[in-house]
Amino acid sequence: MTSPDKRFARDARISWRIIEDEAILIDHDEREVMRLNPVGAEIWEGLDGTRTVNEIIDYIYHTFEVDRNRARKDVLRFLKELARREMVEETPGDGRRPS
Amino acid sequence: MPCTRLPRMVRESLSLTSPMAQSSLVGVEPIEQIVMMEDHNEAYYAWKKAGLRDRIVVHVDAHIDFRWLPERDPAELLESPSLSELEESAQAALWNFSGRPAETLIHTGNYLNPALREGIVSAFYWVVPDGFFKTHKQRKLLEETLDTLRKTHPRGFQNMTSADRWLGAEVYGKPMAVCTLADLPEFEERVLLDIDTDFLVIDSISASYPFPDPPRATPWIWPDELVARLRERRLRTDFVTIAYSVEGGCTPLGYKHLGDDLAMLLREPSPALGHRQIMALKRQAATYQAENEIPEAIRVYQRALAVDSGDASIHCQLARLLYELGRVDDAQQHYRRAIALDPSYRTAYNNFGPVYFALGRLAHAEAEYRRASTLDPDDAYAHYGLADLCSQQGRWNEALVHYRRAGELRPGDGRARLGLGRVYAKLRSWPVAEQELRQALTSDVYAGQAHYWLGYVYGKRRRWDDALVAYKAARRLGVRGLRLHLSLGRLYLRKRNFYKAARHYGKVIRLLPAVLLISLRRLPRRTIRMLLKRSQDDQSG
Repeated sequence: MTSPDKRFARDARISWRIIEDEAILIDHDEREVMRLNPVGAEIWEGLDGTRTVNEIIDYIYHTFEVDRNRARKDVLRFLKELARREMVEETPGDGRRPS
Repeated sequence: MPCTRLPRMVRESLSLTSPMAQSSLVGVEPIEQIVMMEDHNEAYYAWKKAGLRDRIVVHVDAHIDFRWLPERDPAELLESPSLSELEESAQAALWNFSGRPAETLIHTGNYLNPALREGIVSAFYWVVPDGFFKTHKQRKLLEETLDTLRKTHPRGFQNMTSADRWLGAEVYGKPMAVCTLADLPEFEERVLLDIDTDFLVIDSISASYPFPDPPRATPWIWPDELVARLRERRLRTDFVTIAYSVEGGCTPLGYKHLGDDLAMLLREPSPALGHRQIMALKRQAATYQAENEIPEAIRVYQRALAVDSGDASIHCQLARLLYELGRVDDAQQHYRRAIALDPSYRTAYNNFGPVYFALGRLAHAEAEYRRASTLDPDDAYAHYGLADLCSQQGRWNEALVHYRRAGELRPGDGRARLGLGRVYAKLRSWPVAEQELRQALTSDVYAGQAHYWLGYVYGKRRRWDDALVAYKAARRLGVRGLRLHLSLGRLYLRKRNFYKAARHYGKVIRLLPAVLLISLRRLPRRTIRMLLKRSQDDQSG
């Protein structure tokens, strides 16, 4: 289970841009183009290595006015998926990438 | 073939007449602009440099030389102004995920693609050897070549048509046709004549096509016959490109001269007596050679040398024949002379070792490499060939000797370091293997493979994270294949990342049929015949 105090940063190999509230992600290694819905896009944008998972959950909870428990579950599940795909990596907490 | 049987778009393009000025009737009038090249993709650069536009190309070749090339950089997708436009463009193009600039992906197998896309070529006729349409089976194989193109990129390849001795389609909206010389239509405009020397020596689509087979005993068509048949088609041209295609094994080095003879006949349709004599003598000698009348062949080549002692191809053939008679010193002398006259004769393809090796005929390959190494003891390629072969057969110590020798002959060559690293890894000498492979990382060409083998070494030493990093680096540098995905799958499984493991095992499953086919190709012919017979027996039983 991902700890709420952890911080994650987007993997540098993924190029991305927000278009019409959705995030378009290009994974060159996997030769894939992915599309994230507006909630996924917000989470993705928040993964800059400085925010904790808790802060991202709070942000989603306030922005999309969803049940807090639901926001927490969705964010954690989404982060797990990104981690499985090696699209994010855990950071020490000061925004630096892990060495 | 009468023009009435041409696909509509081909007919339309033919009716567009363009100036015939400064063009020559092939085989009748001298052609001034003839560009010779080893690699056929140089034709594209030659056309580009000459500023040619909207020209019909008559591509006389045993290979289509048109494969798909990634068309656009995926980063362009991020520039899309809207999601709907993004979706539309994502479907319409082939995307370049290689991480390399598109122009660096052009090679001998695809150069006609950018020529068509960039408007240098407006219509493309692939003239195939007669044998390609000779039987139903051959024609079917040809159709499959086109069908594979269609399946890979349906938007780029449309409206396939076929007639008895004719296949046609539209490529990027431009007409293309496949036919033999006999069915090539008469053109009302000057064309670009683009010839590969391998057209003269490959007469059918074999099991290993498009990869080379051991060569035919003699060309199926000689340069003077080809020029005569082109003359019959009343082709006019102002620009000819001729590729030798020796590197890669499509044209045997012994027949490289056919490209030069062809150029000479196009440049001077009535060549000087000396040239005609040499061509006739080479043909006569090759015929003797094909009939295994070696002393006769040598005698005729020596007569040819008396006419022109500076012909590298004759020295090269004599070296081979004298070696077969056991006259090694004489053979070496001729080989040295051939290289002195034309340094391009010192090539990895101065023997059929690479071709036999790829076909899994290892005993033949070894004999070829040994001959090359005897004729020229300083031939690094022959040592590489022997080293690869010994390594494949588990003859590790011999492999080490040959890789070391090749490394001495070509200091700083990553291939020797990679080979040594691989062999030491197989011998479980991990520190030396790692050291050699690390040195190979500095090579542009072999870095990917070096990363792969470093991954193997780290994996064996249970340095799982290092292994994963190395395999991923190998992948980023373009290494693909079953073993890499198997290794990555195994490592992700160990890390309990089942998603990634499943993805890599999925790729293994997708690659498996192709790998099995390649393995089948490498089986000795006797085994293939036995398997085929057994399957026929099973079916009839």
